[in-house]
Amino acid sequence: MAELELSGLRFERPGFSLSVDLSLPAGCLGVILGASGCGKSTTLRLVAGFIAPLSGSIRLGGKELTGLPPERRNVGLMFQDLALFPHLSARKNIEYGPRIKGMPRPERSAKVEELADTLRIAQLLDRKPSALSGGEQQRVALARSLAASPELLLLDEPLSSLDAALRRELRTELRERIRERGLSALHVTHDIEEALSLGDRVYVMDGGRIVQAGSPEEIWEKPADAVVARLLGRGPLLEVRSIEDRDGSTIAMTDFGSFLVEGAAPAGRCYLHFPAEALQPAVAEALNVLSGTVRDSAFTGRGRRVLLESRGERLSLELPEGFTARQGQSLELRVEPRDCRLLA
Amino acid sequence: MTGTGRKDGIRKAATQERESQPGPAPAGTRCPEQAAATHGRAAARSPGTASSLPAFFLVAAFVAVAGAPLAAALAVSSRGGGLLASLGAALAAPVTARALSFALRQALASMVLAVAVGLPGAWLCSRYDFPGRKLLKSLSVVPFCVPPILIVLAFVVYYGRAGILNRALMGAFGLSQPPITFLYSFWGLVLVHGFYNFPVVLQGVSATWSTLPRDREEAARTLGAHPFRAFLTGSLPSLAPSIIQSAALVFLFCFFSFIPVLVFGPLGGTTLEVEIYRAARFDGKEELAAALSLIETVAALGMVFVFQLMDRRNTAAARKAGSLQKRGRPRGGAAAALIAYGALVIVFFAGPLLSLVAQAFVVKRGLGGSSRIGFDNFAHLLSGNGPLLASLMDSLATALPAAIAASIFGSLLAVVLRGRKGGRAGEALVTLPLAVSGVVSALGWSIIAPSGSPAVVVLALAATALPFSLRNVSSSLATLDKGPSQAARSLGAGRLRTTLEIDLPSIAPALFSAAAFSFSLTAGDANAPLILGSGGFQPLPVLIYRLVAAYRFPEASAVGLVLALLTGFVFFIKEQSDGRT
Repeated sequence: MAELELSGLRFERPGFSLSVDLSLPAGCLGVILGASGCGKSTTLRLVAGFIAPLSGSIRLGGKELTGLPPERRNVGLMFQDLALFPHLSARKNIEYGPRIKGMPRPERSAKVEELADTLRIAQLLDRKPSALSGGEQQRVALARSLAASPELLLLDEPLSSLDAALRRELRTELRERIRERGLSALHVTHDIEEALSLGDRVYVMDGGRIVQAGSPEEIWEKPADAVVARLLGRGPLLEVRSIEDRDGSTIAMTDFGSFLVEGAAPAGRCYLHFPAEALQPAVAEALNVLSGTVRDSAFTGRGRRVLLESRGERLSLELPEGFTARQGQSLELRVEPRDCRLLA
Repeated sequence: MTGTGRKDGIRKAATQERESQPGPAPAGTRCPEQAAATHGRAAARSPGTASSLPAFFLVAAFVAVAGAPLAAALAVSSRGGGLLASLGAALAAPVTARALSFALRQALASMVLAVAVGLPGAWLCSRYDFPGRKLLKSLSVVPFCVPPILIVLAFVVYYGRAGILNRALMGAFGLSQPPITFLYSFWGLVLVHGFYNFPVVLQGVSATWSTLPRDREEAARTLGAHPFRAFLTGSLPSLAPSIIQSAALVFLFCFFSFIPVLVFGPLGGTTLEVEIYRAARFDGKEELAAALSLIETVAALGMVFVFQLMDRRNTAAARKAGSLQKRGRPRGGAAAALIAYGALVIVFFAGPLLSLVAQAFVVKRGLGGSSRIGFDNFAHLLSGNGPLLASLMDSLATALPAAIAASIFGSLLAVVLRGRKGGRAGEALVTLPLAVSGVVSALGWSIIAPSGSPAVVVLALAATALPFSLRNVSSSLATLDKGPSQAARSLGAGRLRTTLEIDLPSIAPALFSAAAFSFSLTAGDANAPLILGSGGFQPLPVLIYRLVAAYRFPEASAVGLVLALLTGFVFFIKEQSDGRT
């Protein structure tokens, strides 16, 4: 159990630069959420020691890791493709770390048995990875990482190759195993549901920087800016054309209507954002009504996806259940001022 | 009389096939199903498959041509006391055990050296980008397109007592005796074989290594393994088939090596290949030669079996492997390793070849006199009664028809065999001629046609090149995308038209390479003309051999340069143009 501290960590390669400050409390499961290419895997590789930063430091439990080779960091890494050793049985894979570290055979075997029991793979120990299913391979890879008793476990989208149902099941199990050992872990993913349901803390990453850090609830309720809101995809982003200040309240004009917003507007270009589920049928009102013509309407199961047009601009909108929207119809929907936020 | 003419073919065919494997479809270009479907063995009979009767005749002709020398050896050994008696007598002869043991020992040592030099190069080429990387990888054409007689000459010119290296060292340190004298010994032979063959290992292993995912090695590192141990756990097991495969090839080539053994083998150092030649040409013991041929072929079959087994594993692994891995710039230790490796390759490998080129322009004035640089060697060889032009004509007159015949027959055979079931048997059939050495093949043909007419030489050369042109074209056909030809059929084109207008243009590079390869192989071969030819017939390799035997090294080098240009040029161009990886 150790606290991870990344400060002023910088890395560059042609066309990409990374600059990360991150602090993960001991025993916490942190999740870096970001689109592919945002630098989340690079951050993990920096922490694991496979690439060297230009500057900055990586500290784990107060110990400086920067400059140490991977094998001396005591940081476990679960790979996207798992990277099981194909020529070794599940048992040999799992005991590889303890064996390298010189743990005597009886202790080693006990450790493997214990892990195999918890992960329900005891009957598979003598199989080669190629004879295991996707989910079983995941469990073996997790057991292998845990067997080396790392101070920090890094997870590089290890669930991404599984189907949705299995992924959900293993996600719960992963969280449980990490919790019961009091391990600190840093997980990277582009899957929002995974990030929110798995993490104690979520770090949203974009363009090589962490743009927001907080609890899953904070991130979901209060995205720090338009980039985070777009990534979470909870509701639309309307470009604000102009801002009016009226009796201490802010009114934002967009192509789809004018909206009263609580709080002040950020400086410069900004967007109006609200959760899609906050939309209600409108009564005749002038303010806080989103209006436009329906150009396309598709059933999605949970509601409808509507393409709305107004003043030559188009907006894609997820409507909650219960709304009807036919092509060509004009649509008016209301949003409460308390649900509206202006994001830079 | 190079014993290795045909072995070059094996190497080329082997590497080429792997390079053109569909393997892992380059990311985003083809889905795995398509890749699997386009692989000949997995595919059902394609619409372009010809009917059975011509196929049967073509296969029968292939078997006849490829098996003829062995059948002849078998027939000769069965004369007199019968097959078992001749084999028994050959096995009981003391020279057999000595030759077999020497052949195995030198082949083993040469293989170890080739792997030791080839592996670091494979590592550098698959992990790093550096100037000269492409050149280093394209060195793999040297063993294919430079005939062994030239390699021998190059090593003599470079390492010999009066060679460039010795003269440089004597000059630099004021020595009165040449310091390097090991060339004509067991280790000299191993040095020649090892450095001649290391590019086979480099090329074969780096093809696998550059697509091998790194994460297993990284997983081992995070679990506490230091870099070398991580390599042993994470990468070596996956590399092993390609290492064993290329090592088996090198072993086989060195086992069959003929002229380097004749020249560099220490006194008493003899191989089966040399003994077969001696028995047939000097002792007039044709039965013994035939029996030894059979023994050598059986011994070689074992290695061919290993090669085939590893070829299958390697192909299977290649199909599973990921896409090309990113390469970095070498820094620190890697940069130092690269510089050391470059120096090693320049001194031991490029040095001899470059000195061969230099030697071609050295003009000696009298015995022990001073020398200068000029074109006199060429002028002398080209003058009124100089042999170069006539030799060149002899080479072209035999190699060209042989290459054309081998390419056409090989291509036809590849087309009729395409997509047929019984792939394993077919594969084995195509690979088996690898176990028949150059001397055995030439000896067999001399038994069949003792007359010594150039037509027999052409036939023997064509038979030598045939298995390789077949392998070249069929591996290319196997990877051919069936989509376009199916599209053509659905648009109304007939079978013949589809083959001519759609399929042939797609495999044109393979046809070109098969033809170029056949030519290089037949023009560089000295076995057939030496064993089968009559007195006046003297193609370039034979001329070089005679000049070397007369210690006329500068002139031999000049002819060598002409031969190297003739056989190597096409390949160098080809490798440079498609050496993308």
